[in-house]
Amino acid sequence: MILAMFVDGDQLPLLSALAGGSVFVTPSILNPDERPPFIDDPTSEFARGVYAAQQDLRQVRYALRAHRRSAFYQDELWQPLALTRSELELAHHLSSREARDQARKLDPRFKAKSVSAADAECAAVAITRGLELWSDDGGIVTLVRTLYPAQPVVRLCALLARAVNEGQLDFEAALDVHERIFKGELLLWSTVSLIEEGGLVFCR
Amino acid sequence: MTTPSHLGERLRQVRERAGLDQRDVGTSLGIAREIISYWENNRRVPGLAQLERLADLYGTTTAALLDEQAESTSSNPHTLLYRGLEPQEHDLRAQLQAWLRFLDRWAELLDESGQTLPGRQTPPKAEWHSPKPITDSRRARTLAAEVREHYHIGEDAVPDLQAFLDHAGVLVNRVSLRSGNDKLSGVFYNHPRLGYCILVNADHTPGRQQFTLAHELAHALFHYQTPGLICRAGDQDPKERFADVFAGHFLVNGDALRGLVDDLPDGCITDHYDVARLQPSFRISYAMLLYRLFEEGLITQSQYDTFKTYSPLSLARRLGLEVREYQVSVLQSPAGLGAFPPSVLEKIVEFVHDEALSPQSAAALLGVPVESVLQLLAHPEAASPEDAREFEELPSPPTPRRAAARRAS
Repeated sequence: MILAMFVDGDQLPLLSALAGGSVFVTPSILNPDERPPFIDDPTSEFARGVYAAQQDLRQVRYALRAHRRSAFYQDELWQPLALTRSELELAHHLSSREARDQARKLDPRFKAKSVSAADAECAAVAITRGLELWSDDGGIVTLVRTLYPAQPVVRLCALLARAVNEGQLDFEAALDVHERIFKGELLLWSTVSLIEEGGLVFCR
Repeated sequence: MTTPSHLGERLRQVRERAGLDQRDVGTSLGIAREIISYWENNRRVPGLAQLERLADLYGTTTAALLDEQAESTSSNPHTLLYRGLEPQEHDLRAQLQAWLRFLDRWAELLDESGQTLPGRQTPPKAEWHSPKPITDSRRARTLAAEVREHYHIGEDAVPDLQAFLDHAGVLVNRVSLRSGNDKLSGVFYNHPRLGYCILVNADHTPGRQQFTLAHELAHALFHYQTPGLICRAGDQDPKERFADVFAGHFLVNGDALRGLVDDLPDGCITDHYDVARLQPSFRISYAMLLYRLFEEGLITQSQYDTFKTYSPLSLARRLGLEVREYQVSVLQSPAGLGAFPPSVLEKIVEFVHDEALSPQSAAALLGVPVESVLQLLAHPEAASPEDAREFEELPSPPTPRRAAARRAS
């Protein structure tokens, strides 16, 4: 989802600056074995967006999405991660009801009733390999923060705040990306906004 | 859990048991055969989303693929439904399995949210309960009238049977079953947790889908003792025959049909255009209407044989009538959401607002792109000047007091 937002929003230089090189992507998010154009509905989350856009290329937003995402398959900005079997099993566990019940026991405020395979897989890899998890899925973010409090997790708005705080982007530009492009054009589902206070930018 | 070195062997074993070769699986998943081989030789590991697709294709669950013991200790409650499939119908089995996976996850989501699930259902009227399925087609006319009366439908056409069934608590999904599965019109399943569930082949015209829905309603009300039925055109099973006759009478009430024919300029059907003019009153296919006219003795055998040779689409176009009933909808927007009834989509929105679901997990649950869910959640577009003009042309709405007074009187 975060990856799709940056690609669809034509913000690859910003993504590259934030990653400091490449972003690692798991197969349920973006699978190098599936290549557009697609004849049938593919498996990975990113590709399913391409397939849906392919169905109505007369609409500019769908044509743009299909074009930008198809081009991204060739981009060196992303690196596919091959899962290990224990990561697959951890991903399966994170998407299960048992994991959610466990989280509810630790924190009764935990609300999520479902976690997608793609987000669970991303989290499993980040937890296992000590990588920072970039996700804007409320379910997996709260699940990981509850079950693995030491695991670093960054949401989309916080990534933009980081970009401003690290001098990669000015506040107005970040605000424009978040509000006009992500929320306005790409319909990002988010209740938070970028705030600047005391020389620091954060999300609220 | 399966030990690391055994996952590949397990995938191979389950694939072979399903009667598939690696090429079939690669084609079905849209990837090269070699990738399947890598997975089975433990050189690579599939992603979780791919494992879900494999489970659908092999007629099992991801838990069972990862854990051999999970399969041997738990029975698949849906196995009975697969009896209606031929061994070589792998794609169809995968489509059905994906539908059943959605139903199971939907049930789990509702249950986890504290909602009471109906479980396997029985008909709402005690008189329709029966120890055995009703298969006597001679009773279909009377039972169709009783069902209409029970649901207060009257004698008119039901404009949108999916919406009606949704309101009546039947979960209906319209699923594209892809080419090669054209003969399969629908599936009825009395789900162990959700109760009555219906799948309709979305590749058929809306008129045919309307008939399928009525046909599956007959199964739900009068064949509920059977866990599930896969329905194909031309099936000679007595239950299928009964459901066909029921659907005809349910959708086209005999008295209403005769009344409309009486009102035609000549008081009878004189040509094929008369049939095309009657069709919008019932919102069913031209073929079904011809069949019902013949069954009610309102056209002759000769007329039936002649009229069925004409293209209904061409007749409707010539008369300037609505042609939607004859055309397969090729585009559903937002992508994929057309498969779900309004009650499910409303619930999805509610769950996202309550943070029980994220847009991503909602998309995964429905099997649609995330972008479709984002469109569902987006604020409705502003009314166009044309929309606004219509309100200006309407008389001023009554004040609440006057409206209340009218209701009281």
